[in-house]
Amino acid sequence: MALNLAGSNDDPSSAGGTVPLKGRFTIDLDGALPTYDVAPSVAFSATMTSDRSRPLMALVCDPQLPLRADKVMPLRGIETRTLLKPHDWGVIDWPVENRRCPAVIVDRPAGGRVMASLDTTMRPMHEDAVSRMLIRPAAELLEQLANNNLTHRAIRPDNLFYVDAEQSRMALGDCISAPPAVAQPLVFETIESGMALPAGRGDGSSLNDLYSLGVTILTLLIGHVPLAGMTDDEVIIEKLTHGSYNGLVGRERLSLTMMEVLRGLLNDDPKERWTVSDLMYWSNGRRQNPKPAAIPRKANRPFVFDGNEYQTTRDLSNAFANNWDAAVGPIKDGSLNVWLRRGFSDEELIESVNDAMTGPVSIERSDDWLVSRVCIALDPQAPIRYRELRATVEGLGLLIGAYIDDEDMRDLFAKTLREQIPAFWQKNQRRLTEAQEKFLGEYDRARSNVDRIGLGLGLERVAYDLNPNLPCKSPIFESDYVAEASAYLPALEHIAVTTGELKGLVDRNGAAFLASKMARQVTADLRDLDNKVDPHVSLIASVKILSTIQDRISKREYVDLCAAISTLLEPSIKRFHSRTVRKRVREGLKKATRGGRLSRLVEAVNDPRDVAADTRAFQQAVAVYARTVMEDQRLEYEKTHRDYFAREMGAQMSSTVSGFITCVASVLIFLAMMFF
Amino acid sequence: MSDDPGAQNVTRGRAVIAWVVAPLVGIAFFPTILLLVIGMAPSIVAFIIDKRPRKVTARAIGYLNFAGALPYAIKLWTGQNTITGVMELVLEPSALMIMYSAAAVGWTLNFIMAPIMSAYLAVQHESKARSIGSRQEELIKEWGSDVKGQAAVQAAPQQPVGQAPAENGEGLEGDAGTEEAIEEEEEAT
Repeated sequence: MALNLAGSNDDPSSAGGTVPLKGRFTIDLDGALPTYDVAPSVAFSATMTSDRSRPLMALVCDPQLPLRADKVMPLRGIETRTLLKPHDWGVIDWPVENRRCPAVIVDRPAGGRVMASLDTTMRPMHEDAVSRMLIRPAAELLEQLANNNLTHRAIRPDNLFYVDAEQSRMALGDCISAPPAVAQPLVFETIESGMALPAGRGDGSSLNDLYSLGVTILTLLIGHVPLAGMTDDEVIIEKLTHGSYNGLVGRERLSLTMMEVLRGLLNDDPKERWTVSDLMYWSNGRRQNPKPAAIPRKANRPFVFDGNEYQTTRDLSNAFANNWDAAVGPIKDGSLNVWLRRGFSDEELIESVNDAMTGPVSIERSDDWLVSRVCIALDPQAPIRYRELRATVEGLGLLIGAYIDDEDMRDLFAKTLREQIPAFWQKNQRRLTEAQEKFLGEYDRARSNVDRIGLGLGLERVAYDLNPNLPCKSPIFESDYVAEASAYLPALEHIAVTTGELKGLVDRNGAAFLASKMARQVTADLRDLDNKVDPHVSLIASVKILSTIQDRISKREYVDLCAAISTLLEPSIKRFHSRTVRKRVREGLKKATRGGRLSRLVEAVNDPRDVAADTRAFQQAVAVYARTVMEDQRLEYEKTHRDYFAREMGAQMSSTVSGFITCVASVLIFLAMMFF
Repeated sequence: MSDDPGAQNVTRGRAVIAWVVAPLVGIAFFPTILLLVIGMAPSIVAFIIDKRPRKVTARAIGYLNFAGALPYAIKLWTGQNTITGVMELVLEPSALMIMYSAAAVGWTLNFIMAPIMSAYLAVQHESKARSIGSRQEELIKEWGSDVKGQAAVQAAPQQPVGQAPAENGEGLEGDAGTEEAIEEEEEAT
C-alpha cells in the first residue's frame, strides 16, 4: 500500500492531533506540508521535544518501500547546510491510513521548492545563481558524502529547496525516505541506471550523484526538464544515440562555462565523467576542458533487428533487451556473429560474445540465459537484464527486496542467480569498484540459498540478506513496519493490544527476516519451526525464537504479547493428556504471562520431563482402562451365564461345606465313641 | 505315552498302589471295606453320575456319607470285625438310614447352594459393575476420551469369543454419555 501523496493535500486534518516519535519528536497531523512532500513520502510539521523552536518536518514514508535507515546516522554526522539533514527515524501510528508507518525527521527549509514540479516550467535561473547556490555547495556536500561512502541518489530540481525565505541558499532534499533513486525520473539517471527498474538502481556512487546534479543544473538553467515529453525508452535511445550531453543539452543556448561543467558531469563514460574533485576545482575557478564523450564505435553496415537498423553494439544490446524473444533468432542463427566479424575487427568483443553463447555444463542453457549473457557481452556497462528483470549490480538485491511478493520477478531473480549471470557480468568488466565486488560476492553466496525450501531460507532469506533495510514482509505485519529484529516483539505486542489476537508469530517471511538478522541464535529453532508433522513443535519453536529476541535484543517485558501467545499456546497445553497436568501448565502460563517473559512461557508449556511423564502415565492409564474394559466384558459374560456359574460355584461350595462338616463331625464322633 | 521321566515314575507308583497295595489293604481290612461299600452306595452312584471333572457334587455327598458311616466303622473295629459283624450292622435299619441320610444331606446341600450362589453372584456383579464404571469414569475424567479410544484398540483383540456385538455397542454408548458429561463439567469449571 503506497501512501497517497494527495493525502497530505486533501484532508490531512481528518485524523487530527499529534503522534509521538521515540518520545523525542512530535508530529502534528494537522500540520500537513504539501510544499515539502518528497515522492513517495508526505511531509508534516514536527517539533523536537527538547527544542521546540527548531524548524523540523516529518516525512511519512511509504511502508511498502524500505527507507535507507542505515544512512540516517552517517548523514546526521555530516556538517553541511546544503542538505535537509535527517535527525532520526522511527515507526509511528498513522491514523490517516489506519496503520503504522515509518517517518523520518528532517530539517524544514524556510523557503519553498526550487522547482514546483518536474512537469511544469520555471523561469530559467541565471548561471551565476546556479553556480553560487547549487554547484559549489553541492560539490562540497558530495565530497563529504563520498568521503563517508554515501550517496544522495535523489538529486533533482523538485527535491531542491531554498533554505531561507530570501531564497539565497539552496539545499538538497531528503534522500532517506525511499530506496536509492527509486523516485528519480529516468532523465536524471545515467544510461546504465536508467535502464534498470527504479527499484533496482542501487546506491551507485558519487558519479551517479554528479550525473543527476548535471541534469539538475541543466534543468535550472533552461527552466524545464530536458527531453520532457519523451517516454523512458525514447530517452534511453536518445542518450545512447547522441550521448547524454548532446541528447540533453541539444540546441539549448548555454555559456561556455556552463557547457564545460555539464560536459564533464554528463559524460557517459564513468571513467571520464567529472569527479567531485573536478567539480570542486571548477567551482574554485579553475577551468578545465573535459574530454568529449567517446563516440561509440559503429559497424561498417547496420544490423537489422526487428525492422530497425543498429550500428553499435550498445544500441543492439538495448534493442535485444527490449525485444527479448525476438533476440533469440539472430543470436542462434549466427547472423549476430557474422555482423560482429564483418562490422568490427574487435577480437575481444567477438570472443566475449562467443563466450556468452557457451558456458559451464552445469548450467541449464535456456534462451533467456543466452540472451542475457549476449546482452552483457554486447554492452558490459549496462545493467544485468533477464527478461523483465533489469538491475544494476548494486541494485539487484534491492530489486528482489521490492518484488519479493511478485512471483514472476522471484522466478527471474532465482534464474539470474542460478545461471550465474552476475558472475558473467563481472567477467566482462574491465575494473570493478569495491562495492561491486562486495555485491558480487554476496550474490554468489546467496545462490546456495535460492533453491532451499526450509523456513528461514529460500528467496525470502536472500532478499533480507541483500537488503538490511528491508522491512519484514510478513502478512502478520501488514499494518506495521518492522525493519529491525528489535522491532519484531513491539510490533507483535502492538497487534496483540490493538486487535486482541495474533494471526501468527513467525511465518515464512518472518523466519527469513529473523534468520537474516540473527542467524546463529535461531537456526536450531528454525528447523523445529519447519516441523510439518507436529504443529506443537512448530508453535513452541516460534515462541522460542521470540524469547531469544527478547533475551538478546529487546530485554524488556511484554505482558500483553505473553497473554496473546498464551491463548495461541492453548492447543499445545492440550497435548498433555492429564487434566491435572493441563491445569498446572495453565497456571504456569498465567504466572509467566504476568512476568512478561516469553522464555518462561516456553518453560511452562514445554518442560520435557512433564511431557515424558505425561506420556508414560497416559500409556499406563490406557492399559488400566483396557483392563477395565476386559473386566466389564467378562462381567457381562458372567451375567449372561449366571445360572451356570451359580451351579458350578454352588457345587464347589457344597463340597467345601460338606468337607468341613465331615471333618468336624468325624473328630466329634471319634472322641465320643472312644471316651464315652 | 509321556516321555517325561517324572510322569513315568508317577504312573509306575500308581500302578504299584493299584495292583499291590490296594489288594493287600482290601484283604486286610475287608470287613471295613465291605461296610463302606454298602453304607456309601449313594456316594458311589453320585461319583458315577457326576460328570464334572473334579466330581465336586460326588465329593459333597461322599464327605457327609462318610461322616454317617464313620460311627459304624468304629463300632466294627471295636466290636466283631468280621463279615458277620458287618452284616449285623448293615441289617440294623437305623444304621443304613443314618448313613444314607447323611448322603441325602449332601445332596440337599448341593441343591440349595445353587440358588444361594446365584443371589450372591447377582449382588457381586452389580458391585463389580459399579466399581468398573467408577474406575472408567475417573480415568476419563483425568485423561479424557482419548484414553477410551486407545484402550478400545488394545482391548479389541482380547474380547471373549461369542460376545454379542449389540451388548458391546450398548456398553460403549453408555460410556460416551459419561464422557460427554465429564467434558461438559470440565468446560464449565
